[in-house]
Amino acid sequence: MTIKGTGVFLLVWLSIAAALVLSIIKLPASVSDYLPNYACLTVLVWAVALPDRVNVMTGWVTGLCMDFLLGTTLGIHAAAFSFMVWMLSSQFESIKYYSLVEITIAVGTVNFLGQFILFWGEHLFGVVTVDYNIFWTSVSSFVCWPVLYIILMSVYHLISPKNEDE
Amino acid sequence: MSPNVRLALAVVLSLVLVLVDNNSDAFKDVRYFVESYLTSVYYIADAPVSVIASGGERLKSYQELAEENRALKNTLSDMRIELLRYDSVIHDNEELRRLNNSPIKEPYQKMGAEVMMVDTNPFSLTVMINRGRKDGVYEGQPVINEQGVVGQVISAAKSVSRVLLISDQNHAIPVMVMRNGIRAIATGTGVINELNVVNMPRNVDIQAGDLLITSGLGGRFPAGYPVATVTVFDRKEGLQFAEIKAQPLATLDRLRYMLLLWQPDDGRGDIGELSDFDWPRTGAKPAAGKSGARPAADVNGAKPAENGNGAEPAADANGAGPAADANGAGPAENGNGAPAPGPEREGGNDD
Repeated sequence: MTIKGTGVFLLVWLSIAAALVLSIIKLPASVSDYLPNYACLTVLVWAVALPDRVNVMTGWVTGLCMDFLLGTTLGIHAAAFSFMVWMLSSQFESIKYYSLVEITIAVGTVNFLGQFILFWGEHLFGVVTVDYNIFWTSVSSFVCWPVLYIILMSVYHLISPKNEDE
Repeated sequence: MSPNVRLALAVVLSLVLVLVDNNSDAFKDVRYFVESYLTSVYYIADAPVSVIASGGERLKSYQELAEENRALKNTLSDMRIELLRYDSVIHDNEELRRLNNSPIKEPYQKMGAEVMMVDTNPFSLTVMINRGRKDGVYEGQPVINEQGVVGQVISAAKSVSRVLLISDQNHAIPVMVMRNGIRAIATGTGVINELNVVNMPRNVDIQAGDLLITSGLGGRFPAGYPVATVTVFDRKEGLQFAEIKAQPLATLDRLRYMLLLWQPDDGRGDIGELSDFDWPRTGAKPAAGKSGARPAADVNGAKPAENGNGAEPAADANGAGPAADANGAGPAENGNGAPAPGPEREGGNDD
Protein backbone atom coordinates (compact mmCIF):
# COMPACT_ATOMS: atom_id res chain seq x y z
CA MET A 1 0.00 0.00 0.00
CA THR A 2 2.68 2.47 0.95
CA ILE A 3 4.84 1.61 -2.02
CA LYS A 4 1.88 1.82 -4.30
CA GLY A 5 0.83 5.02 -2.60
CA THR A 6 4.25 6.50 -3.17
CA GLY A 7 4.15 5.37 -6.78
CA VAL A 8 0.82 7.02 -7.36
CA PHE A 9 1.95 10.15 -5.57
CA LEU A 10 5.02 10.30 -7.77
CA LEU A 11 2.97 9.64 -10.88
CA VAL A 12 0.57 12.46 -10.08
CA TRP A 13 3.26 15.02 -9.35
CA LEU A 14 5.61 13.96 -12.12
CA SER A 15 2.84 14.17 -14.64
CA ILE A 16 1.89 17.59 -13.35
CA ALA A 17 5.52 18.71 -13.50
CA ALA A 18 5.84 17.41 -17.06
CA ALA A 19 2.65 19.17 -18.00
CA LEU A 20 3.93 22.41 -16.50
CA VAL A 21 7.11 22.21 -18.54
CA LEU A 22 5.10 21.31 -21.62
CA SER A 23 2.82 24.26 -21.14
CA ILE A 24 5.63 26.81 -21.20
CA ILE A 25 7.22 25.51 -24.38
CA LYS A 26 7.01 28.28 -26.87
CA LEU A 27 5.61 27.48 -30.25
CA PRO A 28 4.83 29.84 -33.09
CA ALA A 29 2.04 32.19 -32.06
CA SER A 30 -0.27 30.82 -34.72
CA VAL A 31 -0.09 27.39 -33.12
CA SER A 32 0.25 28.20 -29.46
CA ASP A 33 -3.10 29.99 -29.36
CA TYR A 34 -4.78 26.72 -30.10
CA LEU A 35 -2.89 24.51 -27.71
CA PRO A 36 -4.59 23.17 -24.62
CA ASN A 37 -3.54 24.08 -21.12
CA TYR A 38 -1.74 20.84 -20.27
CA ALA A 39 -1.18 21.53 -16.59
CA CYS A 40 -4.84 22.25 -16.06
CA LEU A 41 -5.89 19.16 -18.02
CA THR A 42 -3.58 16.92 -16.04
CA VAL A 43 -4.90 18.18 -12.75
CA LEU A 44 -8.44 17.62 -14.00
CA VAL A 45 -7.61 14.07 -15.09
CA TRP A 46 -6.39 13.25 -11.60
CA ALA A 47 -9.25 15.11 -10.00
CA VAL A 48 -11.65 12.86 -11.88
CA ALA A 49 -9.71 9.64 -11.38
CA LEU A 50 -8.39 10.03 -7.85
CA PRO A 51 -10.70 12.44 -6.06
CA ASP A 52 -9.42 11.33 -2.66
CA ARG A 53 -5.81 12.08 -3.54
CA VAL A 54 -6.09 15.11 -5.75
CA ASN A 55 -8.12 17.86 -4.22
CA VAL A 56 -8.60 21.57 -4.48
CA MET A 57 -5.23 22.28 -2.86
CA THR A 58 -3.43 20.21 -5.51
CA GLY A 59 -5.03 22.44 -8.08
CA TRP A 60 -4.02 25.49 -6.11
CA VAL A 61 -0.39 24.44 -5.87
CA THR A 62 -0.27 23.63 -9.58
CA GLY A 63 -1.81 26.98 -10.39
CA LEU A 64 0.73 28.74 -8.21
CA CYS A 65 3.56 26.97 -10.05
CA MET A 66 1.97 28.12 -13.27
CA ASP A 67 1.89 31.69 -11.99
CA PHE A 68 5.57 31.56 -11.18
CA LEU A 69 6.45 29.97 -14.49
CA LEU A 70 4.46 32.36 -16.61
CA GLY A 71 5.27 35.44 -14.56
CA THR A 72 1.63 36.35 -14.04
CA THR A 73 0.25 37.92 -10.91
CA LEU A 74 0.61 35.32 -8.20
CA GLY A 75 -2.65 33.67 -7.28
CA ILE A 76 -4.65 34.06 -10.45
CA HIS A 77 -3.92 30.69 -12.01
CA ALA A 78 -4.03 29.23 -8.52
CA ALA A 79 -7.56 30.51 -7.97
CA ALA A 80 -8.76 29.40 -11.39
CA PHE A 81 -7.29 25.91 -11.06
CA SER A 82 -8.68 25.35 -7.60
CA PHE A 83 -12.05 26.57 -8.81
CA MET A 84 -11.99 23.99 -11.61
CA VAL A 85 -11.11 21.14 -9.28
CA TRP A 86 -13.79 22.29 -6.87
CA MET A 87 -16.40 22.32 -9.63
CA LEU A 88 -15.52 18.75 -10.56
CA SER A 89 -15.38 17.39 -7.05
CA SER A 90 -18.44 19.10 -5.64
CA GLN A 91 -20.80 19.30 -8.59
CA PHE A 92 -20.05 15.96 -10.20
CA GLU A 93 -19.55 13.68 -7.24
CA SER A 94 -19.81 10.41 -9.10
CA ILE A 95 -18.13 11.61 -12.27
CA LYS A 96 -15.82 8.58 -12.19
CA TYR A 97 -18.70 6.37 -13.17
CA TYR A 98 -19.83 8.45 -16.12
CA SER A 99 -19.00 7.38 -19.64
CA LEU A 100 -15.92 8.97 -21.19
CA VAL A 101 -18.05 11.20 -23.41
CA GLU A 102 -19.99 12.52 -20.46
CA ILE A 103 -16.84 13.14 -18.46
CA THR A 104 -15.32 14.96 -21.40
CA ILE A 105 -18.32 17.24 -21.72
CA ALA A 106 -18.29 17.98 -18.00
CA VAL A 107 -14.55 18.62 -17.93
CA GLY A 108 -14.71 20.72 -21.09
CA THR A 109 -17.38 22.93 -19.59
CA VAL A 110 -15.52 23.30 -16.32
CA ASN A 111 -12.36 24.11 -18.22
CA PHE A 112 -14.15 26.77 -20.22
CA LEU A 113 -15.45 28.38 -17.04
CA GLY A 114 -11.97 28.19 -15.54
CA GLN A 115 -10.49 29.87 -18.59
CA PHE A 116 -13.04 32.60 -18.20
CA ILE A 117 -12.12 33.07 -14.55
CA LEU A 118 -8.47 33.26 -15.51
CA PHE A 119 -9.18 35.97 -18.02
CA TRP A 120 -11.48 37.80 -15.67
CA GLY A 121 -9.00 37.67 -12.80
CA GLU A 122 -6.25 39.09 -14.99
CA HIS A 123 -8.64 41.72 -16.18
CA LEU A 124 -9.68 42.73 -12.67
CA PHE A 125 -6.17 43.16 -11.41
CA GLY A 126 -4.43 44.68 -14.35
CA VAL A 127 -4.63 45.87 -17.88
CA VAL A 128 -4.73 42.85 -20.11
CA THR A 129 -4.52 42.34 -23.77
CA VAL A 130 -7.95 41.32 -24.88
CA ASP A 131 -7.44 38.41 -27.15
CA TYR A 132 -10.39 36.15 -27.57
CA ASN A 133 -8.17 33.57 -29.19
CA ILE A 134 -7.51 32.27 -25.69
CA PHE A 135 -10.90 30.63 -25.75
CA TRP A 136 -9.67 28.36 -28.50
CA THR A 137 -7.66 26.82 -25.70
CA SER A 138 -10.91 25.55 -24.24
CA VAL A 139 -11.87 23.95 -27.52
CA SER A 140 -8.55 22.20 -27.92
CA SER A 141 -8.62 21.18 -24.27
CA PHE A 142 -12.00 19.63 -24.94
CA VAL A 143 -10.51 17.59 -27.76
CA CYS A 144 -7.28 16.67 -26.00
CA TRP A 145 -8.71 15.77 -22.65
CA PRO A 146 -9.97 12.22 -23.43
CA VAL A 147 -6.62 11.38 -25.04
CA LEU A 148 -4.70 12.59 -22.04
CA TYR A 149 -7.14 10.81 -19.75
CA ILE A 150 -6.66 7.50 -21.49
CA ILE A 151 -2.87 7.84 -21.54
CA LEU A 152 -2.57 8.82 -17.90
CA MET A 153 -5.04 6.17 -16.78
CA SER A 154 -3.15 3.43 -18.60
CA VAL A 155 0.05 4.56 -16.87
CA TYR A 156 -1.85 4.62 -13.61
CA HIS A 157 -3.13 1.09 -14.09
CA LEU A 158 0.41 -0.04 -14.81
CA ILE A 159 1.45 1.26 -11.41
CA SER A 160 -1.55 0.08 -9.45
CA PRO A 161 -2.95 -2.89 -11.36
CA LYS A 162 -5.43 -3.95 -8.68
CA ASN A 163 -8.80 -2.36 -8.68
CA GLU A 164 -7.88 -0.41 -5.60
CA ASP A 165 -8.99 2.70 -7.40
CA GLU A 166 -12.56 1.56 -7.11
CA MET B 1 -12.13 18.72 4.80
CA SER B 2 -14.89 19.13 2.30
CA PRO B 3 -14.18 20.59 -1.12
CA ASN B 4 -16.08 23.72 -0.18
CA VAL B 5 -13.82 24.46 2.76
CA ARG B 6 -10.78 23.77 0.62
CA LEU B 7 -12.07 26.05 -2.09
CA ALA B 8 -12.73 28.81 0.42
CA LEU B 9 -9.21 28.39 1.73
CA ALA B 10 -7.74 28.38 -1.77
CA VAL B 11 -9.70 31.46 -2.81
CA VAL B 12 -8.70 33.38 0.29
CA LEU B 13 -5.06 32.44 -0.20
CA SER B 14 -5.22 33.41 -3.86
CA LEU B 15 -6.86 36.72 -3.08
CA VAL B 16 -4.21 37.53 -0.52
CA LEU B 17 -1.50 36.61 -3.01
CA VAL B 18 -3.06 38.63 -5.80
CA LEU B 19 -3.58 41.71 -3.67
CA VAL B 20 -0.14 41.62 -2.11
CA ASP B 21 1.54 40.89 -5.42
CA ASN B 22 -0.31 43.70 -7.13
CA ASN B 23 0.08 46.35 -4.52
CA SER B 24 3.53 45.81 -3.15
CA ASP B 25 6.92 44.42 -3.96
CA ALA B 26 6.72 41.91 -1.14
CA PHE B 27 7.04 38.93 -3.48
CA LYS B 28 9.83 40.36 -5.55
CA ASP B 29 12.48 38.46 -3.65
CA VAL B 30 10.37 35.31 -3.55
CA ARG B 31 9.88 35.52 -7.27
CA TYR B 32 13.56 36.15 -7.76
CA PHE B 33 14.49 33.03 -5.83
CA VAL B 34 11.81 30.85 -7.34
CA GLU B 35 12.63 31.97 -10.86
CA SER B 36 16.30 31.42 -10.24
CA TYR B 37 15.53 27.88 -9.18
CA LEU B 38 13.21 27.44 -12.11
CA THR B 39 15.90 28.47 -14.57
CA SER B 40 16.66 24.86 -15.40
CA VAL B 41 12.97 24.33 -16.13
CA TYR B 42 13.07 27.22 -18.57
CA TYR B 43 16.11 25.76 -20.23
CA ILE B 44 14.41 22.36 -20.48
CA ALA B 45 11.36 23.97 -22.05
CA ASP B 46 13.58 25.97 -24.35
CA ALA B 47 15.61 22.95 -25.43
CA PRO B 48 13.30 21.26 -27.98
CA VAL B 49 12.70 24.40 -29.99
CA SER B 50 16.30 25.52 -29.97
CA VAL B 51 17.50 22.02 -30.80
CA ILE B 52 15.18 21.98 -33.78
CA ALA B 53 16.35 25.44 -34.77
CA SER B 54 20.02 24.57 -34.50
CA GLY B 55 19.38 21.25 -36.24
CA GLY B 56 17.84 23.16 -39.11
CA GLU B 57 20.93 25.31 -39.24
CA ARG B 58 23.21 22.31 -39.24
CA LEU B 59 21.33 20.76 -42.14
CA LYS B 60 21.96 23.74 -44.39
CA SER B 61 23.79 22.85 -47.54
CA TYR B 62 27.23 24.14 -48.32
CA GLN B 63 25.86 26.26 -51.12
CA GLU B 64 23.33 27.92 -48.90
CA LEU B 65 26.03 28.70 -46.39
CA ALA B 66 28.34 30.09 -49.05
CA GLU B 67 25.49 32.19 -50.36
CA GLU B 68 24.70 33.47 -46.90
CA ASN B 69 28.36 34.12 -46.25
CA ARG B 70 28.66 36.23 -49.37
CA ALA B 71 25.56 38.17 -48.48
CA LEU B 72 26.89 38.78 -45.00
CA LYS B 73 30.24 39.93 -46.35
CA ASN B 74 28.47 42.37 -48.64
CA THR B 75 26.43 43.72 -45.78
CA LEU B 76 29.51 43.96 -43.64
CA SER B 77 31.40 45.97 -46.20
CA ASP B 78 28.41 48.24 -46.69
CA MET B 79 28.29 48.77 -42.96
CA ARG B 80 32.02 49.46 -42.83
CA ILE B 81 31.66 52.10 -45.49
CA GLU B 82 28.86 53.70 -43.52
CA LEU B 83 31.01 53.56 -40.43
CA LEU B 84 33.89 55.34 -42.10
CA ARG B 85 31.99 58.57 -41.80
CA TYR B 86 30.55 57.64 -38.44
CA ASP B 87 33.78 58.33 -36.56
CA SER B 88 34.11 61.81 -37.94
CA VAL B 89 30.42 62.44 -37.39
CA ILE B 90 30.80 61.37 -33.78
CA HIS B 91 33.75 63.67 -33.44
CA ASP B 92 31.80 66.56 -34.97
CA ASN B 93 28.90 65.81 -32.72
CA GLU B 94 31.11 65.89 -29.67
CA GLU B 95 32.60 69.18 -30.75
CA LEU B 96 29.21 70.70 -31.34
CA ARG B 97 27.91 69.46 -28.05
CA ARG B 98 30.89 70.92 -26.31
CA LEU B 99 30.24 74.25 -27.97
CA ASN B 100 26.60 73.92 -27.04
CA ASN B 101 27.48 73.26 -23.44
CA SER B 102 25.63 69.95 -23.59
CA PRO B 103 26.73 66.77 -21.93
CA ILE B 104 28.69 64.57 -24.25
CA LYS B 105 27.09 61.21 -24.82
CA GLU B 106 29.14 58.29 -23.75
CA PRO B 107 28.76 55.15 -25.79
CA TYR B 108 26.39 52.72 -24.15
CA GLN B 109 27.55 49.47 -22.79
CA LYS B 110 25.73 46.67 -24.56
CA MET B 111 25.22 42.99 -24.12
CA GLY B 112 23.63 40.53 -26.47
CA ALA B 113 20.79 38.36 -25.26
CA GLU B 114 18.79 35.60 -26.78
CA VAL B 115 15.07 35.15 -26.48
CA MET B 116 14.21 31.90 -24.78
CA MET B 117 11.48 29.96 -26.44
CA VAL B 118 9.40 29.92 -23.32
CA ASP B 119 5.77 30.86 -23.16
CA THR B 120 4.94 33.67 -20.83
CA ASN B 121 1.84 35.31 -19.51
CA PRO B 122 -0.74 34.85 -22.25
CA PHE B 123 -2.39 38.12 -21.35
CA SER B 124 0.59 40.36 -21.83
CA LEU B 125 3.33 40.77 -24.38
CA THR B 126 6.49 39.65 -22.69
CA VAL B 127 9.43 37.52 -23.67
CA MET B 128 12.03 35.79 -21.59
CA ILE B 129 15.71 36.31 -22.27
CA ASN B 130 18.74 34.34 -21.19
CA ARG B 131 20.41 37.12 -19.18
CA GLY B 132 19.82 37.84 -15.55
CA ARG B 133 21.14 39.68 -12.56
CA LYS B 134 24.42 37.85 -12.69
CA ASP B 135 25.03 39.62 -16.00
CA GLY B 136 24.07 42.91 -14.41
CA VAL B 137 20.55 43.09 -15.78
CA TYR B 138 18.29 45.40 -13.80
CA GLU B 139 14.62 46.19 -13.82
CA GLY B 140 13.70 48.94 -16.19
CA GLN B 141 16.67 48.31 -18.42
CA PRO B 142 16.12 49.29 -22.05
CA VAL B 143 16.26 46.51 -24.61
CA ILE B 144 16.79 47.10 -28.32
CA ASN B 145 17.65 45.07 -31.35
CA GLU B 146 19.16 45.97 -34.68
CA GLN B 147 15.82 47.24 -35.92
CA GLY B 148 14.75 49.45 -33.07
CA VAL B 149 13.56 49.57 -29.51
CA VAL B 150 12.12 46.29 -28.23
CA GLY B 151 11.04 46.99 -24.67
CA GLN B 152 12.32 46.99 -21.15
CA VAL B 153 13.17 44.47 -18.49
CA ILE B 154 10.39 44.06 -15.96
CA SER B 155 11.82 41.35 -13.78
CA ALA B 156 15.26 39.90 -13.53
CA ALA B 157 16.06 36.57 -11.94
CA LYS B 158 19.55 35.21 -11.52
CA SER B 159 20.14 34.16 -15.09
CA VAL B 160 16.90 34.85 -16.91
CA SER B 161 14.73 37.92 -17.11
CA ARG B 162 11.47 39.03 -18.60
CA VAL B 163 11.16 41.81 -21.12
CA LEU B 164 7.96 43.77 -21.57
CA LEU B 165 7.53 44.65 -25.23
CA ILE B 166 6.71 48.22 -26.25
CA SER B 167 3.39 47.16 -27.73
CA ASP B 168 2.06 45.78 -24.45
CA GLN B 169 -0.88 47.68 -23.05
CA ASN B 170 1.02 48.50 -19.89
CA HIS B 171 3.91 50.04 -21.75
CA ALA B 172 4.44 53.59 -22.85
CA ILE B 173 7.54 55.14 -24.31
CA PRO B 174 8.41 58.80 -24.74
CA VAL B 175 9.13 59.44 -28.40
CA MET B 176 9.99 62.28 -30.70
CA VAL B 177 9.10 62.75 -34.33
CA MET B 178 12.41 62.69 -36.12
CA ARG B 179 11.28 65.13 -38.81
CA ASN B 180 10.34 68.02 -36.57
CA GLY B 181 11.12 67.14 -32.99
CA ILE B 182 7.53 66.98 -31.75
CA ARG B 183 7.44 64.99 -28.56
CA ALA B 184 4.79 62.44 -27.78
CA ILE B 185 4.07 59.32 -25.83
CA ALA B 186 3.59 56.07 -27.70
CA THR B 187 1.62 53.54 -25.73
CA GLY B 188 1.21 49.90 -26.52
CA THR B 189 -2.13 48.63 -27.68
CA GLY B 190 -1.83 44.95 -26.90
CA VAL B 191 -1.66 44.22 -30.61
CA ILE B 192 1.88 43.08 -31.20
CA ASN B 193 2.70 45.40 -34.08
CA GLU B 194 0.78 48.51 -33.17
CA LEU B 195 1.40 51.53 -30.99
CA ASN B 196 -0.86 54.48 -30.25
CA VAL B 197 0.47 57.99 -30.09
CA VAL B 198 -1.80 59.49 -27.52
CA ASN B 199 -3.05 62.92 -26.54
CA MET B 200 -1.85 64.76 -29.62
CA PRO B 201 -3.99 67.69 -30.75
CA ARG B 202 -5.74 67.30 -34.06
CA ASN B 203 -3.66 69.93 -35.77
CA VAL B 204 -0.31 68.44 -34.83
CA ASP B 205 2.22 68.10 -37.60
CA ILE B 206 2.58 64.35 -37.78
CA GLN B 207 1.94 62.36 -40.89
CA ALA B 208 1.99 58.77 -41.97
CA GLY B 209 5.53 57.63 -42.59
CA ASP B 210 7.12 59.77 -39.88
CA LEU B 211 9.83 58.08 -37.91
CA LEU B 212 9.46 58.11 -34.14
CA ILE B 213 12.66 57.95 -32.13
CA THR B 214 13.14 57.80 -28.39
CA SER B 215 13.26 61.28 -26.92
CA GLY B 216 15.16 60.29 -23.83
CA LEU B 217 12.64 61.98 -21.56
CA GLY B 218 11.85 59.92 -18.54
CA GLY B 219 15.43 58.76 -18.44
CA ARG B 220 14.69 55.13 -18.99
CA PHE B 221 15.32 54.84 -22.69
CA PRO B 222 18.37 56.57 -24.10
CA ALA B 223 17.57 59.22 -26.69
CA GLY B 224 17.83 58.69 -30.40
CA TYR B 225 16.90 55.08 -30.95
CA PRO B 226 14.26 54.44 -33.62
CA VAL B 227 10.99 53.12 -32.25
CA ALA B 228 8.26 53.06 -34.86
CA THR B 229 6.91 54.58 -38.02
CA VAL B 230 3.57 56.32 -38.10
CA THR B 231 1.11 54.33 -40.16
CA VAL B 232 -2.19 56.08 -39.59
CA PHE B 233 -2.87 59.71 -38.89
CA ASP B 234 -6.55 60.47 -38.62
CA ARG B 235 -8.16 63.75 -37.61
CA LYS B 236 -11.36 62.22 -36.43
CA GLU B 237 -14.22 64.67 -36.34
CA GLY B 238 -15.68 65.07 -32.91
CA LEU B 239 -12.68 63.73 -31.11
CA GLN B 240 -10.44 65.88 -29.05
CA PHE B 241 -7.24 64.27 -30.14
CA ALA B 242 -5.90 62.92 -33.36
CA GLU B 243 -5.86 59.19 -33.79
CA ILE B 244 -2.30 58.22 -34.53
CA LYS B 245 -1.12 54.67 -34.93
CA ALA B 246 2.42 53.55 -35.41
CA GLN B 247 4.13 50.32 -36.22
CA PRO B 248 7.18 49.30 -34.20
CA LEU B 249 10.28 48.93 -36.32
CA ALA B 250 11.41 45.85 -34.47
CA THR B 251 9.49 42.79 -35.57
CA LEU B 252 8.28 42.00 -32.09
CA ASP B 253 6.59 38.77 -33.06
CA ARG B 254 9.77 37.27 -34.46
CA LEU B 255 12.36 38.28 -31.92
CA ARG B 256 15.40 36.12 -31.48
CA TYR B 257 18.39 38.25 -30.53
CA MET B 258 18.41 41.54 -28.73
CA LEU B 259 20.73 43.94 -26.98
CA LEU B 260 20.60 45.11 -23.40
CA LEU B 261 21.77 48.67 -22.89
CA TRP B 262 23.44 50.12 -19.85
CA GLN B 263 23.26 53.83 -19.40
CA PRO B 264 26.81 55.15 -19.00
CA ASP B 265 28.20 56.79 -15.86
CA ASP B 266 25.19 57.36 -13.67
CA GLY B 267 23.43 54.85 -11.47
CA ARG B 268 21.78 51.93 -13.14
CA GLY B 269 18.09 52.24 -13.59
CA ASP B 270 17.69 55.51 -11.80
CA ILE B 271 14.43 56.52 -13.30
CA GLY B 272 14.44 59.97 -11.84
CA GLU B 273 17.89 60.68 -13.16
CA LEU B 274 17.94 63.59 -15.56
CA SER B 275 21.07 62.46 -17.33
CA ASP B 276 19.38 62.47 -20.69
CA PHE B 277 17.06 65.31 -19.99
CA ASP B 278 16.91 67.54 -22.97
CA TRP B 279 19.25 70.43 -22.71
CA PRO B 280 18.00 73.95 -23.27
CA ARG B 281 17.92 74.82 -26.92
CA THR B 282 18.67 78.49 -26.69
CA GLY B 283 21.50 80.12 -24.90
CA ALA B 284 23.44 78.33 -22.25
CA LYS B 285 21.33 78.56 -19.20
CA PRO B 286 22.88 75.74 -17.22
CA ALA B 287 26.38 77.08 -17.44
CA ALA B 288 25.26 80.57 -16.72
CA GLY B 289 23.37 79.42 -13.71
CA LYS B 290 26.19 77.31 -12.44
CA SER B 291 29.24 79.46 -12.69
CA GLY B 292 27.88 82.84 -13.52
CA ALA B 293 29.65 82.91 -16.86
CA ARG B 294 28.40 85.56 -19.14
CA PRO B 295 27.75 84.39 -22.68
CA ALA B 296 30.86 85.31 -24.55
CA ALA B 297 29.27 85.96 -27.88
CA ASP B 298 25.72 87.07 -27.57
CA VAL B 299 25.73 89.17 -30.70
CA ASN B 300 25.68 86.39 -33.23
CA GLY B 301 24.29 83.68 -31.07
CA ALA B 302 27.38 81.54 -30.89
CA LYS B 303 27.48 79.47 -27.77
CA PRO B 304 29.71 80.34 -24.89
CA ALA B 305 32.46 78.19 -23.54
CA GLU B 306 32.08 75.50 -21.05
CA ASN B 307 33.53 76.47 -17.78
CA GLY B 308 31.41 74.39 -15.59
CA ASN B 309 33.92 74.15 -12.79
CA GLY B 310 33.68 77.74 -11.91
CA ALA B 311 36.41 79.07 -14.18
CA GLU B 312 36.19 82.65 -15.23
CA PRO B 313 34.08 83.62 -18.19
CA ALA B 314 35.69 82.58 -21.42
CA ALA B 315 35.89 86.00 -22.93
CA ASP B 316 37.86 87.35 -20.02
CA ALA B 317 40.17 84.41 -19.68
CA ASN B 318 41.68 84.31 -23.10
CA GLY B 319 40.23 87.19 -24.92
CA ALA B 320 38.48 85.05 -27.42
CA GLY B 321 35.30 87.04 -27.23
CA PRO B 322 35.97 89.37 -30.13
CA ALA B 323 37.10 86.50 -32.30
CA ALA B 324 33.84 84.76 -31.71
CA ASP B 325 32.01 87.90 -32.61
CA ALA B 326 33.88 88.26 -35.79
CA ASN B 327 33.51 84.88 -37.37
CA GLY B 328 30.67 83.40 -35.49
CA ALA B 329 32.61 80.47 -34.09
CA GLY B 330 32.10 79.75 -30.46
CA PRO B 331 35.15 79.87 -28.25
CA ALA B 332 36.64 76.68 -27.07
CA GLU B 333 36.07 74.83 -23.93
CA ASN B 334 38.49 76.05 -21.39
CA GLY B 335 37.44 74.01 -18.49
CA ASN B 336 40.52 71.86 -18.91
CA GLY B 337 42.84 74.63 -19.91
CA ALA B 338 42.93 73.84 -23.61
CA PRO B 339 43.86 76.81 -25.75
CA ALA B 340 40.98 78.50 -27.48
CA PRO B 341 40.97 78.09 -31.23
CA GLY B 342 39.19 81.37 -31.78
CA PRO B 343 42.18 83.61 -32.46
CA GLU B 344 43.92 81.01 -34.58
CA ARG B 345 40.89 80.53 -36.68
CA GLU B 346 40.63 84.25 -37.18
CA GLY B 347 44.22 84.36 -38.20
CA GLY B 348 43.56 81.64 -40.72
CA ASN B 349 40.78 83.67 -42.19
CA ASP B 350 43.04 86.63 -42.56
CA ASP B 351 45.56 84.59 -44.46
